[in-house]
Amino acid sequence: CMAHPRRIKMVAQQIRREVGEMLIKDKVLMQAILPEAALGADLYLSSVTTISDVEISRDLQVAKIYISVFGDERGKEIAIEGLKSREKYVRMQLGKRMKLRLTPEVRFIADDSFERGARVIKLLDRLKEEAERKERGETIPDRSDDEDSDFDDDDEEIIFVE
Amino acid sequence: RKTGIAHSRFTHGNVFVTITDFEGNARAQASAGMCGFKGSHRDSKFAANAVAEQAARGAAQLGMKAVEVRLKGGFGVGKRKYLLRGFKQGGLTVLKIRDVTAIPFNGCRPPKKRRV
Repeated sequence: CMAHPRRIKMVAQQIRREVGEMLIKDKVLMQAILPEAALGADLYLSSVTTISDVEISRDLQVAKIYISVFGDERGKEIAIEGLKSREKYVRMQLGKRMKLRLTPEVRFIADDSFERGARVIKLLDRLKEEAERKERGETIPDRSDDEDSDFDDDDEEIIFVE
Repeated sequence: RKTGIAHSRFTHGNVFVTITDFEGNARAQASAGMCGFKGSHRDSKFAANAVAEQAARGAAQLGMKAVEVRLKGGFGVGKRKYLLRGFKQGGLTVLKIRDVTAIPFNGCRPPKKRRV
């Protein structure tokens, strides 16, 4: 049976709030996304996970939680895998924290939309710049070696700046 | 003088970033309202991005190159990634990321559960 659309939105927001809080405060989840937290080395984070979006089905049975991770490739994989292995735990916690007749099945999905969007914006900016330069009659610099600066800022390497 | 700390605070309806040096003296400050967002828009991911970018620009003008980011606030889980990107867009390198949300060793009683 279909719930009222406003209720769907509210439940989705509440799930987002709860899971967001759990990602910070819950020891089990933190160890899932950052294995070094289990060793106690959780002061400096090597990757930051973010809930991009929560979509819930019309009958409030399935909740899809889109996760994006900031950090290097390995950190991303570890975080997403860790969360996926804890789906049932998250479902149980949601059931404890929220008063719902039937707790939705939780699915974690990796979300790359921001990277893709940022890449598209960068390309568009580059095209615009090249068009402007052409208008002004300047030569177009060779941009083929421009780094894809999406994942530059991981802190596995600590950069010392004097 | 080239490195500092970027304190970012996520509240229920807003995002603040203030960049200080290692002693705690503030160098640059930005909030979502300062970046042109009004009302509920201040609470969004794009606002977090804009705030970080604005603060980073301000600090970069003063000569800062890299920051250690400190994240505070449980409302920020959906926005942290966009915030970190914003620092880079504003011209600051992110050195380390740290979460300094205040977590009690079970102290005060939290507000009652919401009935949704």
